[in-house]
Amino acid sequence: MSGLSVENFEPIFEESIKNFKSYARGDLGSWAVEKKQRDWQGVLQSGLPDSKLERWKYTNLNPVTEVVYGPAPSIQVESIQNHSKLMRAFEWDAIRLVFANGVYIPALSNSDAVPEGVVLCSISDLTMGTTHELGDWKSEFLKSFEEDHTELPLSQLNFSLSEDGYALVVPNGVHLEKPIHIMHMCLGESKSRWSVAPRNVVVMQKNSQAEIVESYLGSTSSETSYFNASLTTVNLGENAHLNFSRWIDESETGFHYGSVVAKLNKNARLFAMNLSQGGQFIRNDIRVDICGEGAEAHVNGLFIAKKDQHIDNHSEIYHHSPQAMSRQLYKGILADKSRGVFNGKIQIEKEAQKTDSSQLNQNLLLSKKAEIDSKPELEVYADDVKANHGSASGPLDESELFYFQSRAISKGEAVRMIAKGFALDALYKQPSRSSREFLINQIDEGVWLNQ
Amino acid sequence: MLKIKNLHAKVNDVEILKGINLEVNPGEVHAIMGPNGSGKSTLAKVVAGHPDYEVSEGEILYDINFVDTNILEMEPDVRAKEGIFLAFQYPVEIPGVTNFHFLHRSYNSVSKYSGAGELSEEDFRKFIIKKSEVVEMDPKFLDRPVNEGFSGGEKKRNEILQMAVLNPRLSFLDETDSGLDIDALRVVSEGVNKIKSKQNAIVLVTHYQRLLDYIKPDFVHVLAGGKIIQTGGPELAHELEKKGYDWLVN
Amino acid sequence: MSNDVEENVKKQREYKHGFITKIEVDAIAKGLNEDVIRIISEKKNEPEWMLESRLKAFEYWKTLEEPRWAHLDYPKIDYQNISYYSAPKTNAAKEGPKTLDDLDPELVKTFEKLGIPLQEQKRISGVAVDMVFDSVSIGTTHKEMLDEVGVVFCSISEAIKEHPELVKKYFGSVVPYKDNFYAALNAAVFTDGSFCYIPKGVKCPMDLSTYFRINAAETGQFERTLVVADEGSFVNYLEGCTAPMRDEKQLHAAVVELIALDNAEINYSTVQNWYPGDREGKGGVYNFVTKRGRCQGKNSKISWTQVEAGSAITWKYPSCILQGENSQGAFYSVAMTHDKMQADTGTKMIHIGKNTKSTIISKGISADKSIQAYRGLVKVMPSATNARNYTQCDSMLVGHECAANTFPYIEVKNNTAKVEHEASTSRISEDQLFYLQSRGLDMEEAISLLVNGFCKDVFKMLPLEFSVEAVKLIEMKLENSIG
Repeated sequence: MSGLSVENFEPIFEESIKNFKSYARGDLGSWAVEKKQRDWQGVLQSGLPDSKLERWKYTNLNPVTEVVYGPAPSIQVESIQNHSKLMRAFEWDAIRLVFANGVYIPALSNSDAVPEGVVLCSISDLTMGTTHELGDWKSEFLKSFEEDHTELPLSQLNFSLSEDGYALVVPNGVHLEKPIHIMHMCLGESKSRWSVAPRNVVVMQKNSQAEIVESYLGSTSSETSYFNASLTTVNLGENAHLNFSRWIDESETGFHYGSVVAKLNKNARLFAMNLSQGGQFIRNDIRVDICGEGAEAHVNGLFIAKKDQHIDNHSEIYHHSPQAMSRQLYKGILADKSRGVFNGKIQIEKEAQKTDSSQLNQNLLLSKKAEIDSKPELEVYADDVKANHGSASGPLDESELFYFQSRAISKGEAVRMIAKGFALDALYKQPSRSSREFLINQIDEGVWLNQ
Repeated sequence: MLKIKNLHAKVNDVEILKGINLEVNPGEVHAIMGPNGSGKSTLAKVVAGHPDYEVSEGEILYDINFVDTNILEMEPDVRAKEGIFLAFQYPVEIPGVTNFHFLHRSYNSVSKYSGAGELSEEDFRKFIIKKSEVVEMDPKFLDRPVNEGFSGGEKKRNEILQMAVLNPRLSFLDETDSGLDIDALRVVSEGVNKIKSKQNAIVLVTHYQRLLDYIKPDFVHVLAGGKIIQTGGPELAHELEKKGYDWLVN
Repeated sequence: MSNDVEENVKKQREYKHGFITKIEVDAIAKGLNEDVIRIISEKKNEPEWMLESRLKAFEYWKTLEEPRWAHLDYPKIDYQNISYYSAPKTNAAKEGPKTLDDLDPELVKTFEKLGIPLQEQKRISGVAVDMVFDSVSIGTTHKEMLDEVGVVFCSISEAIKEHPELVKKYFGSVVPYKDNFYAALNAAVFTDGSFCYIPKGVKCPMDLSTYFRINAAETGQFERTLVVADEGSFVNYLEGCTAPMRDEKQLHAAVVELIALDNAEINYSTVQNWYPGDREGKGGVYNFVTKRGRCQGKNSKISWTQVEAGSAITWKYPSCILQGENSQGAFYSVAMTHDKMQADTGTKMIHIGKNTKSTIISKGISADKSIQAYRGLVKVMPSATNARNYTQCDSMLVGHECAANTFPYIEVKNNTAKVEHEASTSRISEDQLFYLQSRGLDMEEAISLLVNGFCKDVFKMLPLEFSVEAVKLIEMKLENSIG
């Protein structure tokens, strides 16, 4: 084994496989049990990446692997009402699936507005065969579910520990009017750290359209800690359009590793947004493979860190097909002793002529002790392309402050307005008004109000 | 309204202003002209309180409630609230903040300070759309980020729009004519003329006489080497246009 | 790119410095061990302390593994199959050249052919040259004139004997032998190189230059250059390199150290045109070089300018440690790769002192099947209040089978720092060429215009005569790739 040992996850792997076996049925069930065991053996052998690996240069997973994990606290549905932070997220008018500590909670979910033909359910329901028959989308779904993502070393850990998640299949030509809100909440108290590993699958068939926000929220005391390691695979068929946002707002003691793997076919459009704040440690990986002409990937993010938080964003876009475009904008606001990382990549393969791609990372350092490591990368193997990237980090701009002051706005107010504007600039990249406003309302403005 | 006495200012230890004396009264239009690098823009920025400049000697007295008050220690926003306005030569781009939001905050903050009431977003929108006409600006500009992606002319119009909104007593227009084509120059100048009144004063900082065909100055000052070396009426500007600056400087 | 253009690509690219000088040499057998190091040291008449320093580096090197880089691909080097010392057999070589007239006429011819006349009457005025041929410095011009102002400019071997106090103080102070695999190897086996000391307050009256030539087969060249600019001094330093066409790979693992004290300024320029190998990638020089400068004093400045047009593989990152307050570092680079060349180059700017500034302008042109990467680090330490960096990396691709990569690392640990990085990838398009041609420019002029436009920010940093040479070099190489 070269990496960090995952032995400390063993107790929860055992428990997860036991639970899973108890309800998994049919082909899908037995296949999943087998894959879980295989993935566990794989990650036992390889271990989790250590900081010698280029992709993990600035982020150390030691704090994640060094404690023994135990079972997650079980949750009474009524008790969720006591968590105002969580309850606020229910206010949004959306189709809703709710998971608490990894377990699907039908009582809080509401999928009445799902049009016919659309599959939206928990993976557990799907594997038990209680809600949906696997239809003509079965092979497409399984392919997305099955695929090994060796480039994401935590994907094996995710699958081996995973008990649930959601599945969304939007059939040919269907447009979902209402946004879908998937809430993954961690709450409760436990002496040992627990982990949840949501495994989500999104299949968008030809000409379909949908809008998803995945929220990862924590509400625990500072005495207790958890690790959320999620993976969502997204497959966009020809001309499909998906607005896909993630909002991460874990407890101060929470650890979060979130990964998204998306594949775009011809003329498909993906607008991905990630808003990360809260948590002790957040690492986001997104990988987009553009496999069809004319596809567009917009991959954006805003991260806001305070205290001694560590937020790391990796965004990789691979252009395999010609005439496609990609845009990345990641903005970081760092206060106190926090540390931010951005590592973005555009890779343009030989075949991907006429690609138009750009990537920008901007960081605002609000405090003396805040730190940023930025690594935008270009790998270009085709000659007739547009590819550019940029990175800019620094404090609030003095000339901007002066401009505001010269317009009678006090310095404190100017700082707040500029920081907020800086943040909004990123969220404006989400074209759907509904998701965008929902995310804007979640911004932790306290980070700069207190500066 | 404004009395500048023996003003010395430096940036990065280099002295730029070397003893400026200037008096401006309500209803007057002053033009400050001079060769490049003479300190014209510096003077405008020092009056507005730009933090890069250090005043080493002299004072800037400004009439606040009928009392000549030295404003050197005042923060730039307080000066703005007291009615001092600077139209920037290079207006700054602010991503993510809409022009509307920016102007609304700016307006309310001045308005509140002067004891008048604040305007709601709705009322302000009505007010600002009317003001936009002063500089023939498409109201669509209001919902774009401040100055971002604006052309040179649009930026300058936006500056004059801000002037119209804030209704300052004393305005410094720093090279507002530079980079403008004739049409834009006309629009901007007419805007300024509409705002001009018996109660307020305008100081035009410019390199060229061109602007003065549109906004008639009462006084023309020539600034060179950090000092005002000549003061006259509008005819001085014409003389400068014909002869250049050399005959005065040397 | 059209077929016409493709056809033209196939024209044999001319490497005009590819001739071999037939000369009797004093070389030692292949292989690397302690005895070899003792022999090198003895041949150089070195003092004991230098030998000890070499042996220490060698001990450390033995513990290291050769680095492998993700974007470079080459067979493992057999370090026992290289001769570590080769010198033209003249008395002058061992003793140090008394006068240039002592030189073997073949050598004089060699340098004349390379455009560097050694005879007094023909010397390039305004530039003092130190010539390094394989493992030894064979002579330095304009010594008298430099002596007058106290500038020391000689081979490093001579400096070890004549100026031990300076060498002891600065040698290895910027690139310690523990720095990396090749720095350790170099510290153990370096054979010659240039040394330069500019005394307090002296503005060096002429540009200083070192010309490196690898001639012998299966030798490695491990030169060592040390430039020290004392308080308030100024120097322009130029470096040129060529090698004959040989089928075997040649290894070049140099170390260059620059030190600038208070208010001193060093501009170091390189035009690197080592033999790149043939079209199929046979032969060529492995150019594994460690170059680093320390802006030690207040207001000091170090600027690296490089035109990298040769070598089968280039691996080099001329860097600046910005230690003194208000010190400034700069890196201006044009890299041109073609055929099967590979280049991984860039810089590190380490900001330590307050108000330090760095500028990075990197222009890469990849043609044919070559691979190029910019790899750079900008690091702002907590102490570097108000540090500023501006980086611009542009790549140009010529043809369908080449690659251009950009890997910047930006690490900011001080919030008053402003760090900006921009990069882009573009190409010379046929549309552009057609447009220019339709306005009356011929192909050559059109390419020249586009390349000059692309590289002008770097070319303008080079001293004039270098700049002219560099432009011609890049144009010549590119013409073969475009048509």
